[in-house]
Amino acid sequence: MNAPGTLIMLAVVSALLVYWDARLRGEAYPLGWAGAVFLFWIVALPVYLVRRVVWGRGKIR
Amino acid sequence: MENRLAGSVLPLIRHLTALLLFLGVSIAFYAPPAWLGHGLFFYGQGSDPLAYIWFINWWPFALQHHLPLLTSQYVDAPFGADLSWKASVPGLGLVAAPFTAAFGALVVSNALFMISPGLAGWGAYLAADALTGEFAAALVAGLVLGFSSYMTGQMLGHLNLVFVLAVPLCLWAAIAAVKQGGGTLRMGLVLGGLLAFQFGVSQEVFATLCMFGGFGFIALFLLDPAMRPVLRRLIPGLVLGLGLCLLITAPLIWQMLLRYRSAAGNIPSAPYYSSDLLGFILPTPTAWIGGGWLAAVSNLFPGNTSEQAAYLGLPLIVLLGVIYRRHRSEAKFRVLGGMLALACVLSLGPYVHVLGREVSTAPWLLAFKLPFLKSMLPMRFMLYGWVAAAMFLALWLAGPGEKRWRFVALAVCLLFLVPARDVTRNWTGLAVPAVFTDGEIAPESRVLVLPDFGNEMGFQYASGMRFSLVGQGYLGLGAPQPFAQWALFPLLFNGEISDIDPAAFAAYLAEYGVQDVVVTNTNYFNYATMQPLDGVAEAAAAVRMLRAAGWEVVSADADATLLRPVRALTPPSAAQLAAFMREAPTAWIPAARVTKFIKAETRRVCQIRAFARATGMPPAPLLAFYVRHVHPYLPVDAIVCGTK
Repeated sequence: MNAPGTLIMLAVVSALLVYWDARLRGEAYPLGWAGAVFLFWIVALPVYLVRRVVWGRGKIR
Repeated sequence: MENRLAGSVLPLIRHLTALLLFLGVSIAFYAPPAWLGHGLFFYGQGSDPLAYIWFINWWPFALQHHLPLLTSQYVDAPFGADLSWKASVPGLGLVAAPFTAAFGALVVSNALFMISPGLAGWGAYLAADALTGEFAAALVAGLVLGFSSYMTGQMLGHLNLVFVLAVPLCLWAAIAAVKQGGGTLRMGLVLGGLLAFQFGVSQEVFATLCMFGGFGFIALFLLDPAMRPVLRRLIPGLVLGLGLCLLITAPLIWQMLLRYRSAAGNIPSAPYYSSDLLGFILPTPTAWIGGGWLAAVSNLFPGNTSEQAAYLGLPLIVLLGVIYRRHRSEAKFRVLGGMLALACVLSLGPYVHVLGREVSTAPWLLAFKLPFLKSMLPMRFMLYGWVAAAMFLALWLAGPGEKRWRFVALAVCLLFLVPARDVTRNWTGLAVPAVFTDGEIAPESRVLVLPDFGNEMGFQYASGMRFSLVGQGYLGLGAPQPFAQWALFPLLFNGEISDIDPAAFAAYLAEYGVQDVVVTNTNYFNYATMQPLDGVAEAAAAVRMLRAAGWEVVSADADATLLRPVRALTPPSAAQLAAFMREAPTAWIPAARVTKFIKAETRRVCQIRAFARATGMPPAPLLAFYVRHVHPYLPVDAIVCGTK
């Protein structure tokens, strides 16, 4: 598979996982997070993961 | 009364002083290093600047000779080329036509190149002055845009992308309308004129200007609630301006829509012309500081040096970040910071690249395949990033508090953006062989210049448009049809002329009625292997091949050889054509369209004859007038009208 194809597949899979995880954890905008991860994987996924850790510690909300 | 006069005259003097200052700096940077003597000496490198000289010349030339403006039979003859999807700069060509008539297109093109950064800087100065009211801050904003990495890169040879005065002027018009009020009509007229001019300089920049203008409007609406009533008042003026622009440019837009499908293959790849993530901090060879040292790294970035516009430099990025952090509560900083970030992110294209390798998806992925949006190259979005950065910095400089250290800090950051000397002294001299100018080529001849790709546009311009170029004439990307269907075309284009079969070449020249072939001795380059070739050896091989094809040398000097056919050329038969072409020869225009075309032409000519009969006028002058102004493809004398 060519590089763009691999990247799109990676982005789609990551976005689906983020959507599922965000919904499970009661995030306000699971679809927004999934969209951001699909469109800007290299920035949005790390931001989500950091936020998830912080959120998991109960620092958000 | 005196105060009112001072209020209107003083700003005018200040703005004119700033204009002179910017033009002076621009010319000082980009002027030729010395008097360059005779020949074609032009700013820029490669074939692009020659194409701009040709275009600047084309508009007044076509008007003077009553030629169709948007198609030219002088290139890709005998079929001609459509100019609507090329970087044909009609806005510049028409505005500069009086100067072109007086001084020639070469001088005008060089002058436009040299003043472009200064004019863009002056536009940014006006916008920043309207925004902040501070002369010094506005001057710095002008310098930021005028000598940004976008401008420095495009100054390598893209006149249509460097003459962007209308972009900051549109912002200035919008800021002035917000601050001073003014009627819808006034704003509509100003914006309409600016947008139409920008459309005439670069349709791509016009489209991206509208897109980023829309983003800016939305950002301001969302981030600054206090501005919403003002923005609502601006909408009629904006709509009027856009409508006026579309009205003025309607003929060009119509031609572009007609040719949209055929132009699709000529658009470069958006993923390839995307900013590299490291391109924001690592200089390219256009930067004076570090550009040369890091060339080995920056050469890995996608696109080419002229398009790499993302270099802000680490010091400026840090400064922008610090300013944003301190002022993020202010709506103006939020909006301008947001626009800068948006331009940076969108300039990454559909995929994020790191040292040329795709590593992630990027937001432009949603748009890069869509009609019209696919024609935009993401790297060029940084123009709007630089406009936003210039305004952002001007706001900061004009803010309350101690200012001296702000200017010092910014000066240090801007030092990293100073253009490299190789860029600013980027002049090329092209020696024109005497055969093009001594009258040996008969007027209106069909000529093939070898090597096929490179300097032919300069030679044609230098000859005074004496001849048309057969199956060649660089005006932008795209293989010329139907010439590219020939099996020999890749060899001809790639500079592998000696490998061409003489029989096939004889058929090629006969099929398109070539009358003269000029073999020049320089600029041989193999575009397949990207290696320069020995000009004298290649020229000798080309002459040998042409002799084998039945052509003879008419004249030769140290620069070029002129050849003509030994006997009258016989066009190849259908079977020979099929053998010499890579694909089955297809009609350039579909058969159904040809039939429709012939019918329409016949109808028009017959209507003219009927009009002449009805009014008792002689038909010949009317038809001559028609031929002179419409340039029909069919000979009107051969059209027979039915009797009713």
